[in-house]
Amino acid sequence: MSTLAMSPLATTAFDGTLAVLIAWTAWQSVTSSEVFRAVVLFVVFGLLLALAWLRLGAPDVALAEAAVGAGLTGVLLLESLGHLRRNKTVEPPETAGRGRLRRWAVGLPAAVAGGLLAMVALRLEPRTPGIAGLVERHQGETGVGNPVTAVLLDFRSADTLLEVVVVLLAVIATYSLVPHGPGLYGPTVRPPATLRPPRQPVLIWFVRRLAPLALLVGAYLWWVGSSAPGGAFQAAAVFAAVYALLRVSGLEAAPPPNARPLRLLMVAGSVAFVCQGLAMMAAGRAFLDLPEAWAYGLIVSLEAVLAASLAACLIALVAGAPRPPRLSRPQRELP
Amino acid sequence: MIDLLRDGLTILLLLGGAFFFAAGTIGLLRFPDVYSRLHALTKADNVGLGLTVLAFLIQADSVMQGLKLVLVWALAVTASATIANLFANLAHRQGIREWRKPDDTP
Repeated sequence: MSTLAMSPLATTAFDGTLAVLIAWTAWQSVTSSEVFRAVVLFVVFGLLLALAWLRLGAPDVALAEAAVGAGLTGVLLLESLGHLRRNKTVEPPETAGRGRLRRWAVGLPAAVAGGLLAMVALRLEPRTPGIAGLVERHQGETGVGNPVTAVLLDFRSADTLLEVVVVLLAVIATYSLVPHGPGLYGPTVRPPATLRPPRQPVLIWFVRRLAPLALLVGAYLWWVGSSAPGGAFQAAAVFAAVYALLRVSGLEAAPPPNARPLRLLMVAGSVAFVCQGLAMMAAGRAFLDLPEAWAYGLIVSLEAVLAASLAACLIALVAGAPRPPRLSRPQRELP
Repeated sequence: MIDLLRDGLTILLLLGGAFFFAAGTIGLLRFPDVYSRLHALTKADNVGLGLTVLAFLIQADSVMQGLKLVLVWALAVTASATIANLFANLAHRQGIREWRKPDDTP
């Protein structure tokens, strides 16, 4: 392929425009008084950020940002917004005094944290080698071709373990929002059936063709993660996106609230990760310290479990808190 | 010689693509109602993307690379057509009437 090289001027102009657009969409999203507009701007912000990661030569981070940061978080925000609107629990515009106090309470710590981050960023040496050399020297010991995967699943796998646990904690937090006991939930929890939009034949046609292809892409992302940008998180995000598509087109069968297989799958990732670490200790090594001969097999199989488990967690997040058992039956006792 | 010809054709196709993208964006900003704006956006963007993909297609190294480009194009076109249908459907259900010229009494 003959390369049409970009001139330095064109690159600078592109990067400059990108930087300005990222800052602008972030500002607009935060300051927008309309929630729907804020969510849409947040998704655009995430996509632009993914583009910025690509420009910085970090396709792994770009993939994660586009799939999780923009895509899935956007879906979750839109779902929450729809839920709030259906239940008419969107708060009325705040009165000036209380709103201002709340704004300062949020804005001031955020400004301090942002200022500190900016200070640290400005103090960084412009061309520090970072860990690139170290990773390159030891990558052979892991058997995987993708340095990012080598760091995430071997050198610094403790960080990844915590990330997996955090996703599980998010699901537990969501599930804990389901009210317990009689009389705690009113009939407003379940939206009236008439508000459900009619089935869209064009959307259904499209989703029926897209879903298998997207599942293939998800499986590919898991498999290719050992040698190229990809991995369990990205694969799981694609699987959850397929579920979200099936959900909006009305093709999905909602996971039953207390489905034991789904719950077991959600926990499987964290459990398998910890077990792998403990097994290494039993073999006389440090926690999560993989032996060179086994590293490749262990990484790829753990990533498979993680992809399935994270997908289950993200799907549970998209589906939202399960309905309280009593509401799944029509309520006869209410007039 | 053949390389020069190919690069020239790529540049022409990219410029054509950029023209349609720009036209679609202007339509999105200037057209009077949601239906015509959807029309401008999806129709023009599809042609713009088609020309852009064509520009890269003649630069492709292998058949596989070319097929991937065609797949990207096909997915984007069907996705944008589906989304246009959803938006128009929603607007129609919400009772938004299509725009008419002010002096055009039916």
